[in-house]
Amino acid sequence: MKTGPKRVDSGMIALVVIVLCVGVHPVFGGDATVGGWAGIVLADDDKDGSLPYFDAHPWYLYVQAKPAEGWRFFGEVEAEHIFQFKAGKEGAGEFKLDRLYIERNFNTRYNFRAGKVFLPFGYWYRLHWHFLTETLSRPISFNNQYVPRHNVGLQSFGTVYSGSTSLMYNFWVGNGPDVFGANQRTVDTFGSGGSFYLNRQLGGSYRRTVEVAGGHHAQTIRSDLLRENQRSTVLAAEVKYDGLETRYEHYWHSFDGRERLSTWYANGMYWVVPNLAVNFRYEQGDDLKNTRDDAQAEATAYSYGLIYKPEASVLIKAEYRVDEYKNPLDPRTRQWNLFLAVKY
Amino acid sequence: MKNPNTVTYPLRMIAPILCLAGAMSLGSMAAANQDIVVVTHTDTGITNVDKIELGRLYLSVSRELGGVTIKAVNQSVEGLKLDFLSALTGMSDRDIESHFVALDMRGEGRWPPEVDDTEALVKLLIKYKKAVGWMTVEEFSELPERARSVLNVLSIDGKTAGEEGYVLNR
Repeated sequence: MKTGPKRVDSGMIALVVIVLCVGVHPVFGGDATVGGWAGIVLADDDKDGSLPYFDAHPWYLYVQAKPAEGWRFFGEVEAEHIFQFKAGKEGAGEFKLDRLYIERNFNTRYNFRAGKVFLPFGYWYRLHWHFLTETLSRPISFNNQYVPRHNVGLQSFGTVYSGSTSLMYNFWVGNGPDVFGANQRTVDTFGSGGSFYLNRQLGGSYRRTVEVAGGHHAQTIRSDLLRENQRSTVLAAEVKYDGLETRYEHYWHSFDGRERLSTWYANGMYWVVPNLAVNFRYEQGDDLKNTRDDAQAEATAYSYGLIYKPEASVLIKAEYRVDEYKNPLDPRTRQWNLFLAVKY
Repeated sequence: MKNPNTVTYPLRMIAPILCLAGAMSLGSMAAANQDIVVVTHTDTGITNVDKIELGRLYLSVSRELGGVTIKAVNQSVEGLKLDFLSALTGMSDRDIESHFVALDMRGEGRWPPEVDDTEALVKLLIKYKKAVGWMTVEEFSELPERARSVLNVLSIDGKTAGEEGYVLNR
């Protein structure tokens, strides 16, 4: 697709407005809900010696509508860095479409979506950061975008249940923006893949679950200078036992004529009391985005965090993170952040 | 002739005990009346449900019950709604609210629709048929006979309200 992001997004934002009108209008059932969430960040890192900065980021507004039985619209716009004060400077924000799709629901087992959706690839990609993720900082794998965060195309999904076991599946095909090595929409991409989540409730409890997940995505990137086939795979597991929640994700990524990349992280979170949790994440992998030498891209990161939820719709997080690199020219970096978010 | 082995007590001595036993019995009956029953239209053919399956339906992660595509309906009595979901799923109120916040943000689902009271629920169940709702035993017993005749009170994991091990006993 040769179209620039601003033009595409403004057209899609117009569609969200149409969806809102359709959802609210009584002729279509008037079954629309409008919601969203907003966050503010106070953060600092020692990468460039700058002062701590304050960032109103992000702000989401979404609308859901059910114009007819078995049909659903979902549209969401995002404003990033609405206003930012970094080392005394103020920057302008970006307003864009995050998701927009129409969904056809047949039953729990067969459903289809068409539009712009999150790619259901492993765990982190399914979460709507930063409200639902444990940390504000992203794992190395996600930061390097081995697979696109979004898919613009078709998706089929469903869940099959058997007693206390469930199997959720997804298949997709489409054009994913922001893919690895091609952060601009000036290149064509085409990708397809699938994923699964196999969940077992222990003793029938919703607070004691074991889940394994996997996914594979293949894509072709094409521009005037480049034509490349990429493949990504994820294997993951998640165990929740009362207040303890642990997760492991391992990503692999390969592309034509270059070496295979991989990253993994292990995360442990413990709810000390119902609304306060401590979190620790350890990760290793090829961090091409933050290292100067692709041949020595190995990095290690530790992240310590606190999560406080005074209400289900209010979130306060604090995090301290250290990144270390194999390349001696890449210095060890430290960063911290405080995050407040409210869902409305 | 009075049996010499029989011990008799003046009424004033046993009256407090009788009153206490009576109060406990009435309290137990009152508690049983506040047990929650899950009801659906007889046309669905559902008479017994699996607790986990019912929990998934009310957590909006499934749309089926007993092989039937069906809509879960809540009554908008805030405390009672959370009591019902908590008893059904074993989750705390905060876990339940966080679950729906996450579903909503992901665009994967939302709270089941709500009605104001039992009367509205019964009207909805009779009109739409493929819906399931809940009410207290007392509310169900006060329904007109013609309403009760078209509703199935569902057993959960083979147990009915008041029975030992019934998940929605209060």
